[in-house]
Amino acid sequence: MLFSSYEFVFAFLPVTVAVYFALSGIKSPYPQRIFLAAASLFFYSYFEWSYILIISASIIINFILAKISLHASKQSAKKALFILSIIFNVGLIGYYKYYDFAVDTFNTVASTNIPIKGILIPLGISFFTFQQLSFQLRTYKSDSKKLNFIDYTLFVSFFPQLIAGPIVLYDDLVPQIIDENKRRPNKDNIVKGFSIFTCGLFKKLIIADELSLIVDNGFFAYKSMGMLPMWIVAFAYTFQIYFDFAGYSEMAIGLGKMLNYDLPINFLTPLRSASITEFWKRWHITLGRTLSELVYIPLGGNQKGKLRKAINLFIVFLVSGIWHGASWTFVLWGIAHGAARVFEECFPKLLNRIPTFIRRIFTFLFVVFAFVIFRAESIGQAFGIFKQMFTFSNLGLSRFSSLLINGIFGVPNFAAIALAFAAILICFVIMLKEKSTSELLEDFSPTPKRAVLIAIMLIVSVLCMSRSAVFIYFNF
Amino acid sequence: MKNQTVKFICLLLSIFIAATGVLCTVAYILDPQNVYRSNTKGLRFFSPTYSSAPAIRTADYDCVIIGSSMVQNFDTKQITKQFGYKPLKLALGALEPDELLWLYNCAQEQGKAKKYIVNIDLHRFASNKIVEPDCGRFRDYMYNPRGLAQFRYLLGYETWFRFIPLQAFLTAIYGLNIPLPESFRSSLKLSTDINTSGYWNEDNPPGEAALLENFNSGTVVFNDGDSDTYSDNAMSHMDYLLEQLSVKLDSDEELTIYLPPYSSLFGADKSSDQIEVIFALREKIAAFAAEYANIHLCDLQAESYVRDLNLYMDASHSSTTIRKATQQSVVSCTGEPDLQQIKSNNSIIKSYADEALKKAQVKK
Repeated sequence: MLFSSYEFVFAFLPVTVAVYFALSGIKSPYPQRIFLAAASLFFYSYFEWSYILIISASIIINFILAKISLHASKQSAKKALFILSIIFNVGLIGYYKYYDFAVDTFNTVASTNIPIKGILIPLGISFFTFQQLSFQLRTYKSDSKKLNFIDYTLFVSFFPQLIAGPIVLYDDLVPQIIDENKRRPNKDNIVKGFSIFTCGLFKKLIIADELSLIVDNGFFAYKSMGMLPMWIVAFAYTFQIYFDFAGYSEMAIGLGKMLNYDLPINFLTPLRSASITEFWKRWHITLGRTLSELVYIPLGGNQKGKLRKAINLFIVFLVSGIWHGASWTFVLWGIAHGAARVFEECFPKLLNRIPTFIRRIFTFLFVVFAFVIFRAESIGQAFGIFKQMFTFSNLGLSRFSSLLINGIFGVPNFAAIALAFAAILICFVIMLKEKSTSELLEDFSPTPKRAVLIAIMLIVSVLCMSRSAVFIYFNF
Repeated sequence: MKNQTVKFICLLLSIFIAATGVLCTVAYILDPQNVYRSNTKGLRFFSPTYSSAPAIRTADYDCVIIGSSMVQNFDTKQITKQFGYKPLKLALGALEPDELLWLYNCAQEQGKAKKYIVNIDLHRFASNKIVEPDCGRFRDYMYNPRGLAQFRYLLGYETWFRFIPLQAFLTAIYGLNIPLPESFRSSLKLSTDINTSGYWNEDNPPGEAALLENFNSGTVVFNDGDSDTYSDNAMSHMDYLLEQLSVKLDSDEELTIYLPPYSSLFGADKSSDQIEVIFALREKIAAFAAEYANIHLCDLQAESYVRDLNLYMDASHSSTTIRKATQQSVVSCTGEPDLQQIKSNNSIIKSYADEALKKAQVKK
């Protein structure tokens, strides 16, 4: 079920919130928690019922391993269980996400013909696997004996964060699950949460999905586009993925808030960053946090000298690229960001001499180029697009109408040029002016003016639901 | 604060309920049957993405024509005159094989058509994407509206961000007698006649010189496939499509497959072996059609007028001259599948493709 679907907004969400708080009247907290976990699993299985088997198996096995580990007296046993949990989780994600890619690569390198299985990747597997790996690391280091199956299931399956994050850690969520004060409905949280949810819905449905027209048409016919249209396409994709994913994260945070849960912030206006280092402190923050915990710190972090730190940083970005998907384009995207991050680490004084405004422009352009690689179906396509972007002999002014083909009739080229530039300009203005999710949360007050604004955003969003596309990060 | 929160909820809900109520009422008054066709000054829009679905459900037809922009080669009036059918065109530029199957299945579910005309763009079968019925660029909820879904259009994106604004805009333009640019008017004219549905906007320069220039500069995409998997993909995807087309076809229904009249340069792709894959696909379709009495094949690729590069605007879209001639060929085609004939046509195509390629290389 998509957050941006009729089923979710008009059925699942109101029913779940109503029943959840109705159950708060029961003294025992468990009916409420069981209901929320069951509703979350229903939400997940709505995409494909067989997914529930995979996530259930993952939850049960991780829980058993953790439970045994918590009661193990010997450190060696704890370590063995931790290694087993890594093997299980990495094996699970490896099979579903990377098997076909590995076989395809092997076939190419070794000229073999091993059949590809065409495995359907379960939604959110990268997210819930990373979440549980992080939990296993915590268990390995922890002395606590407490672990409850219902709480653990709810921690993994909690529907606002299940499919595309924010990646929530055990200590982020479980203390809130067991907090008695959070069981009863809170009108302020419901209003605040719903308002944040609507802001995210608007970003996804109005901005990201509208930009997808330019992006899809541009990437489809990139060979014949010319320079200016391809620059517009490259900018459009950067804004599309940002508003799509940041919109999703805002919806998740808003939904959590409605149920009295505070989920971690995932975006802090990252496109305004003045360096790649800053960008990664503001973009998909919870992935950075998890990678730091699971990869960077175990590799030694910054404790083993400058060279080792640079290597560790690079490895983190490489893993980040691979985590996003089984394709060489994601690997190259990770390498590009890793190289930029290492460069900034090595030459901080040099970079600090450049005015912030200039650094912001260069950082933004770097992010745009990297996202072209990220979106491309192959590395060849990515470089084909770069070539178009720098073909000064073909400005492509006559090709703008093909960017806006939408099935009704051809938009006159002069109008297409105006619309395409206007769309990008509007996105730039929003990017520069928008408030981050944390600012939205802090500044919110239930004034009549806000009620009108949220109602308008909701109505416009509802009008766009019939063509809502899947969130980009659902693919990862 | 609590009072303020309650006021906020009441205000938000009342605005939302009132506004959606008004929007639903307006949409219902303007379009009570969910046909998604703006009707301004007698102009009806045939926007394939949105109007194909309601047309399949509500139009009066006994024949459907499914295909890409190549559907410009089918003249419904001539088809009615020649065969007595009332055709419905379901065309969308660069129609994907899975979209084609989707439309075919949707038309089959309605059971109104006795004749199916399917235009197959062979090169589209070579991509790595798995072919299966998929709504693609169409809106799936429009095709099988059940229960509450049949009213979804009242608050639909297509209704409120496409058709009603378009209708309002054009009503205002016509009402105020504001002159429109010629390119816009011609585009509008094509979009308002079902017989010109799928027509290629004639905005590309025609003629051999322009075509060779496009070919050499790579500004026209000549194939969509990855060269390593081109043949395997094309063959397996075509097998799947043919099986799907035949499985759904009743014995009293007829299917005619048309192979469109691309220019010779289309076949003469820079990777020369790909033309052999196209030939193999053509032979596969001929062999398949020969097995069924009610499945026919018309090959427009080897016609003499198709060989003239001067008649093309790009590798697949032709000028009015070739289009008129093709429309005539469509209705005069007997549709008897003959593998030998297809093989013979392949030889003809090969020789003029080689000739075209030579010209392109000389120009380079």
